[in-house]
Amino acid sequence: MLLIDCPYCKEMRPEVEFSHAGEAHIDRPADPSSLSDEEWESFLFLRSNRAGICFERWYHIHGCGRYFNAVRNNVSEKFILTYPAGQKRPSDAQIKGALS
Amino acid sequence: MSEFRTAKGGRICRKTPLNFSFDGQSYAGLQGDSLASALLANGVHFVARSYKYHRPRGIMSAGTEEASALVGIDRGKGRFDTSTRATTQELFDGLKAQSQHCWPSLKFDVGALTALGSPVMSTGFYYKTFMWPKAFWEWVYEPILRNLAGLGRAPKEMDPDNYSSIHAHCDVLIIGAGPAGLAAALAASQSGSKVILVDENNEIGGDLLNCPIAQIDGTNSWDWLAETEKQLASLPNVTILTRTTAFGYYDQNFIGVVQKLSDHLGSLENKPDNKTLRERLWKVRAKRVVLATGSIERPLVFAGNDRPGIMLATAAKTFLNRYGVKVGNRPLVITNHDSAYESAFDLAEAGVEVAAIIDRRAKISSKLVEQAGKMGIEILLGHTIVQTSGKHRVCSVRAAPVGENASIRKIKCDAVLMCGGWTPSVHLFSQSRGTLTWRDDIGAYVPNNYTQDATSVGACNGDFLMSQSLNKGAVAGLEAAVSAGAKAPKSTSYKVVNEALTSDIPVEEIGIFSTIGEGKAFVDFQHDVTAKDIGQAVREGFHSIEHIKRFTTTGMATDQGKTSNLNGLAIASAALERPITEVGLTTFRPPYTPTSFGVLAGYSRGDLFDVTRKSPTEKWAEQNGAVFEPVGLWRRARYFPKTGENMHEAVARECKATRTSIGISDASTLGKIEVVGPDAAEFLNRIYTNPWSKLGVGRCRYGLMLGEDGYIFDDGVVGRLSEDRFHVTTTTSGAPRVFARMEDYRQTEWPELKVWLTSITEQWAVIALNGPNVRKLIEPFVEGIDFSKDTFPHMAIREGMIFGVPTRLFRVSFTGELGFEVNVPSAYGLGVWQRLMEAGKKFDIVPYGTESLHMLRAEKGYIIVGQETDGTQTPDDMGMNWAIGKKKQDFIGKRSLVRSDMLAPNRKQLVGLMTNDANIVLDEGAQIMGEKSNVIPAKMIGHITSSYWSETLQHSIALAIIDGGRARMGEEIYISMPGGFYPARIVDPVFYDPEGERLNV
Amino acid sequence: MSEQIETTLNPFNPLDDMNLDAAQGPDLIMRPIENCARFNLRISIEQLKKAAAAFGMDIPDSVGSMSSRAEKYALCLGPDEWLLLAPQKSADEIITRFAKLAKNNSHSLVDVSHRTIGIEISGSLAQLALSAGCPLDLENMQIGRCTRTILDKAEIILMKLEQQRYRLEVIRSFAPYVWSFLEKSGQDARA
Repeated sequence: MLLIDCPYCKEMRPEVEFSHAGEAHIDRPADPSSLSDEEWESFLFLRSNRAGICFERWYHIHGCGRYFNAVRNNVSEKFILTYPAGQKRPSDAQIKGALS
Repeated sequence: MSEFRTAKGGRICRKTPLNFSFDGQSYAGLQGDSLASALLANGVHFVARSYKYHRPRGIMSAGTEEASALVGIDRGKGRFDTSTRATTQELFDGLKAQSQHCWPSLKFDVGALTALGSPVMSTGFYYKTFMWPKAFWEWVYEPILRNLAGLGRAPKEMDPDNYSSIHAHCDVLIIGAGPAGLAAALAASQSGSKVILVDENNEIGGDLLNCPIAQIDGTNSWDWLAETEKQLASLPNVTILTRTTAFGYYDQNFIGVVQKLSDHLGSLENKPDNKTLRERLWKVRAKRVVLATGSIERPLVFAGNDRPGIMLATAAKTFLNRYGVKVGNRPLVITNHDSAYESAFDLAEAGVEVAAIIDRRAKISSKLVEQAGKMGIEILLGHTIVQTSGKHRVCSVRAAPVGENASIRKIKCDAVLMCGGWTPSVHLFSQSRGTLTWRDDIGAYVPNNYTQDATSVGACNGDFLMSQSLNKGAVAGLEAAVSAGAKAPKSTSYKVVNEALTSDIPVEEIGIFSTIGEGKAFVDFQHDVTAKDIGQAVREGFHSIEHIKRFTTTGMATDQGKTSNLNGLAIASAALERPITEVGLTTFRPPYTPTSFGVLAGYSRGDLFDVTRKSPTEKWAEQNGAVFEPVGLWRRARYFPKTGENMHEAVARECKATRTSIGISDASTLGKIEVVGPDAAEFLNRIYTNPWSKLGVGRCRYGLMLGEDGYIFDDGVVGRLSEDRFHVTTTTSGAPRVFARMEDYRQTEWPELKVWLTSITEQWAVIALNGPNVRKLIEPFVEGIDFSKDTFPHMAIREGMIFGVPTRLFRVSFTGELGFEVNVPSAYGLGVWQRLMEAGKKFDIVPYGTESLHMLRAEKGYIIVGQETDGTQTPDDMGMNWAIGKKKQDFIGKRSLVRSDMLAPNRKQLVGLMTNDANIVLDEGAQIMGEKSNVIPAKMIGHITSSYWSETLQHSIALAIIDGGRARMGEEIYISMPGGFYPARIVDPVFYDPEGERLNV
Repeated sequence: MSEQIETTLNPFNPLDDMNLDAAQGPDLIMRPIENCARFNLRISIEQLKKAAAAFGMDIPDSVGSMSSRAEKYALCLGPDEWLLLAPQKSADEIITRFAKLAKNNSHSLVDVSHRTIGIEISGSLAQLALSAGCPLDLENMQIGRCTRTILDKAEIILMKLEQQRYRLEVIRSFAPYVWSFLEKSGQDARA
């Protein structure tokens, strides 16, 4: 069972309190009606699905009730960084810093 | 006292004799014995038959690595454990053990006849032989093999034992309480760090228990051990757990640990309170882990190396020093490592005649030669064993110079002690995803790169000397405590005299297998895999070690190859003509040793198997004979049969009462969310397809929620309590996901909206009242609400009091009748229900459950999300375009509704079906065809989603989704069911009161 | 909504039907907590001081903190979520004062008095009984902290009142399960 550093609780908390909520940094378009089918398809279905470092959303459903974002290596399963929803995607340098 | 029990020594209690039986024969043992040591004390070596060839097998080790002496332990009804290692089972008075893999008896076993045909049963035999013909697998091969296969047998009764589990947190977890682990514990605990020390044996000490002659800092090792135990036990920050196995090393220092609490105590059958625990699962989260898991001696691979009486050299030493048991009167040693000499010397010291020491090496240290000479033990250097004899126990070996098939010499013996070097136990380290590195000098892999906060010390790290274990353990314990946050404690160092022997072992000596000699040379004793099998696998083209493992099954038995993995690798390496480091390694997986299902299930059995959520009125339903059904975690009343009624009759009566007078039903399980804030209406506009801004205070609306993909996600009635406060209802099973979805959008997509959500599902009990007399029933008991038809119309919500408690009263209907849903605070749900039942007597009020609920709504063509829909239906598919706010710029899923395939005319659409034969009730899920046709593949045009007998209409009715269904009204279609094709007509899905007149009364 | 109900109806607690004495001993005491008023408060952190004034005591602003006075508690469960506990008789006044606050300070106050059942568990084995199902490090949880978490298969709100005394708020329909679980794990803690 992983420990996850909840950016709102500011504590390492057990994985069972959380649920995974998909890829992070996919903003819902402000006006979906203005989108072409291809653009809407891309928003709706297309995900990066990379092995390695990825950006994810997590929901502290049995804790503070907040959705937040995480940088995680989905091969080693390790969390690298967590940060509140709405915050900018961390830079490569920040991720590197967190890894070292 | 038997001739094999020593006169003194050992850690057994000679004053406490125990009786036990093996295969029905009674024996005597001593307190402190393992089943294995007790059998050996009685001269019993032959205790099992092997899994595949049914070969006689003995006791090959003295510990957890045992691969041969697997027996069934009978602790009473339902308490039969199969494949238990005789070496780890502690003896108790009355223990009953049975051999396995033999029929009718251990000594005369029919299955052993397969050994006669064993060239046929070469490796991969099962894979190859039973491939063809295909039908034979199901009818012939499988039943026969099922009968023969398996490791022992499982009990058929329910497990009556108690298992528990606990989460534990500590600064330092130390796994293994041998010299390294003990030194680590002493060091780590000094400055108050919370330390948990676990060891799988019944007492701490590890290798110290085998080495009574060693001296630590001038103290006899056993005295040092007693003193250390006393010291650790006195510390409140140290928890020592014996009989406790760390079986799995998971992420972030999360370790699965099983503590055995009563397997050594004897039968629990007669304990009346049934409170004794069998095992406890510790889910340990440690800041730092010290792995002190020791090492395992390797067998040598030679022809006939599996006869009873042939065992690991150190096992003989353990049986002698720890249990006071001589494994034979004339043991012989075969080795390529110095440590086996200790066993020979200890046995000779105890007065046992050692037949010879056969050493594969041409040259050994002069000290060993000298010592052996003093003791009168013959050493055959540069020799090996080419054959062994003895039907049920080894009685002689034939030795020859290494690599030759000449100068063969027969040596009589009654036990063979073998040593092929030592393998560090890196199982847990590898499970932690650490990587290993090869060490040529010890011929084994040792930990290299750590991915978790752990450190390995002692033999599991390739440091085999007791002094190394103690000193490195002390350093590791100290560092672990400091890295877990403790102040630096003072360091310690240890001096050891008379410690264990160790020597280099060249890589070409590992898993050495000579083609010279007769008989099978076993690598994996539990799975009966021979050196030849591995060679054959390579010849047949399996070159990856993972493939070789699976093809031969080496290392795949319950012992997970503790004694066989490295020998297997080495033999594969030779066959592949690649260096061992290029052969690769197979994966170490939990559990380290077999772990009971009971302890993994823990509390999840019986009443605690899962949560049963009961509604606020469930007690009344229970007392009034309701039949229940599970709906998610909820337990809901399905119907309320009167004496003698079946479900069909009860439902018919319940529906009739609801349509003619009053039906009462519990709807408390519906999800409820209170949406509050100045932007509440705007929030709902975006969540639902419907428009909410203009919904008046005190009014309700049916709301439909889609996914972004445009498919129906959930539905429910929403009432507006004030400008900024809505009472939202969801489906029962959808409640959690709807709440999570709403929170998601609120927090992450529209954080600018001033709106908040509160789950109120369990704040309110909901009693649904339906039928023409409902208003008459409740009006007298309600205060503060005007009930007239015009001021309290259909789809309205009012707040007031009922029976003196607050209520949110909805005028809504899921039956098509005049309906009210009485919401009261949950604690009053039962009381209000009882009052309503009492007051409703004069209207012949009838309680109904989910079955009638479904029936009544189906007559009205109301959908149930998840029954009419399966996650691929749009509002239009369900004929619900009326629920879409056409003027809204956006809502979840809106964009998807105009994708071309969502607008296709031939999508599956909701329709009603009337069977030609009124009495045929169609099967839900049955496929629908446009024509009566047996042509394969038949063209399916849809399926039945709901189907019932309608008491009201005196006709079977069904809802279905059919390709372009709405354009096919009146068409005859056919439903394929086991009885044949049943014709039906496509009709409007609203079967009853299509004008809705009954609602507006 | 008023909780001061003049009624002959008896409130029903799902724990009423359980054998509440089964687990009891000097080392483990479990009891259902009397009915009380419970409110879910959602408000922006900037306006928290005003909410505190309406509630009549300090409301903490960091997640996991808890304040208490007399029989009132304010639990900060999330960055904009609080659970307020108060004696039943003060419910009306709290509702009224928050309603006044709403005029200029939008927030959400929702009555959830019946949503959960309170259970107090105390004694030297309390922590062990809870640790059977709760993955948090309870020994090192500070007194006066609170959190939503998991107990075996149920979500709970956990309040640490003293080193050996905890209060749980359990969703009503999960309460019998949680009670039975603690009864069994408490018994096992003695083994």
